[in-house]
Amino acid sequence: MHRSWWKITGIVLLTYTITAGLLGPVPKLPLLQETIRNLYFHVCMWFGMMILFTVSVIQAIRYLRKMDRRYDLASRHYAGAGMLFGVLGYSTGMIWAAFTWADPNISFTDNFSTIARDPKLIGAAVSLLVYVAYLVLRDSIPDIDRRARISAVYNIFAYAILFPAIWILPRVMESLHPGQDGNPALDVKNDISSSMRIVFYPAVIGWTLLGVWIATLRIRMEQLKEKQLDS
Amino acid sequence: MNAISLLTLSLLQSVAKPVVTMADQMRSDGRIYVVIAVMLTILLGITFYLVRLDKKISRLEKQS
Repeated sequence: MHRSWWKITGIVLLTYTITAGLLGPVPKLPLLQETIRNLYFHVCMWFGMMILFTVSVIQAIRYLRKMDRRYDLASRHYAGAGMLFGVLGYSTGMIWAAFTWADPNISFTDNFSTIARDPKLIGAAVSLLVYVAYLVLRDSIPDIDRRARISAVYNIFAYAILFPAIWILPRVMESLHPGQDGNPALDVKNDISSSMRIVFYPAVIGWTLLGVWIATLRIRMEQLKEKQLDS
Repeated sequence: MNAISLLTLSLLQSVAKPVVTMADQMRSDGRIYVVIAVMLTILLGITFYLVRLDKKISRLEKQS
C-alpha cells in the first residue's frame, strides 16, 4: 500500500474511538443522556469537513500561484471529501436533534418549523450549498485551464463564507445548537469533560485521516485517467 | 410537621439532583458490546474496501 503509516494510524484511532467512545465514562446530563457520545461522531464530521475544506483552499491558492494542474486536482477532491463529511454531519445532526431538541408534546410539523429555522442549521446548509455550487460550476466548464482557474477562485470565496456561516452567524443570533457561547466558539476545555477529551481529539484526527485517505485515492485515480488520455 | 419537612427536603433534593437515566442496564446486560461489534465490523469493511482500492490504484500506477 502506498505510504501506509498514516492510514494505519487513522484506522487504529477510529477503532479506539468506537470502543472507548461507547464504553468510556461520560458526564450524566439531563436530556442529552447517552447521546452525548455523538460528540465523537457527529461533531468529528464537521471538524473533518473544516480541515478538508482548508486543505482544498490551500491547494486552490497553490494552483493560482504555480498554475500546476496537480494542485487543481487535489483542490477538487479534497473539497469532494469535505462535502461527504459535511453531508454526513448534517444528517447525523438531524437524527440527534430529532431526539433531543424536539418537544414530544407538540406535533412533528411544529417541531420541524422550530428546529429548521435554527441559525446554525441554516448556516451549515448555506455553506454546503455553496460547495455544491462549486462542484457544479467546476464540472460544467469544458476547457481544462479555465475550469481550474475559475474553480480555484470560487473555492476561495466559498471558503470565505464557510466560517461566517457556521461559526459567526449562529453566535450573533440565538441558536439551540451548543458550543456558541464564550470565547473561543467551541470552548473545548470547559464544555467537554476531560474524560471525553481523551476520546474526542483522537476521534477528530482519525476521521480526518479517513477523509484524507479517500481524497488521495480519488486524486490518484484521476491522475491515472489523465495519463491514459495523454498517451 | 416532620412528614412535611421530610417531603420538602426530598422535593428539594429531587430538584437539585435530577435523575438522569443512562444506559446502565444495557451495559450490565452486556448488550453495548453488540453495538461496538457492529460498528467495528462496518469500520473493518470500509477499511478492507479502501485497502483493496489503494492496492489496485498502486498497481495501475506502476503499470503506466
